[in-house]
Amino acid sequence: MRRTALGALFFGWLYGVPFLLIVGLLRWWSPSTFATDAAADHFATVTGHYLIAALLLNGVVPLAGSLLAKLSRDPFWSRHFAGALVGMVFVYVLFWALTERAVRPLLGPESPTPAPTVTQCIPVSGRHGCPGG
Amino acid sequence: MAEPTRPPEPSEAGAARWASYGWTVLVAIGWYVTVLAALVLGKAQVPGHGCANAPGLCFEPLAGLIMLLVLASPFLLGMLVCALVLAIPINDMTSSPPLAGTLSAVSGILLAAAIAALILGVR
Repeated sequence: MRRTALGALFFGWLYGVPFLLIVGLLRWWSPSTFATDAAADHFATVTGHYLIAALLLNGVVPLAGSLLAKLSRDPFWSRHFAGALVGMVFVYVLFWALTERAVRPLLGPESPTPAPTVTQCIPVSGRHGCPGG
Repeated sequence: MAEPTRPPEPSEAGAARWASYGWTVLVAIGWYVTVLAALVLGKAQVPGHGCANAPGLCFEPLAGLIMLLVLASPFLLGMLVCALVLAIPINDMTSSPPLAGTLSAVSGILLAAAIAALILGVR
């Protein structure tokens, strides 16, 4: 019973964290268009929830698993949760490396649409012309 | 009188080895299922432009995703075969099926990518 629980915890971490991380990063990186600012904000908030859940579980589950395995004196799962601690650090480093050059804020709504900048001369009737006609 | 401990019979050791191999393979397949499911479900959540005003050829995001999976299926199958083969030596190297399965999954996709690059590059 206790072994099953420890196993479920371990595999929940092993597969759950990458799943949440991939879904969150995919949502974050994919170019997407929305009809309204509210829809865009909601989408960004949910994306943030995915990423927060992944990062939190990645920290909590290996630590809790190590503790539980030690308390129940289970050498097999103690060993595996020690490995999970290494995996935890790996996931954090990987996440940092992937998001280091972020172009958008990771959490929360996207920055508001920047005002368009005029890069071309636009002739205005009665006011000014442009070089070259 | 206590029975002296004896080394396991070759058939017993073989059975234990194959049981461990089974766990390793399950863990590796679990990785592929998890990552594919995350990619598909994540991509399906991202709203696309839709094909209402698209000029010419256009795929709805989900249809495009399914087509991509069908096109990638030979590679996915090769990746799985590579992982199953590589799992045999990797499983013998470590006593931990989760570790061996994870390593098999990673090395399976690397080997399949190398083979695919070789095949596509040689032509």
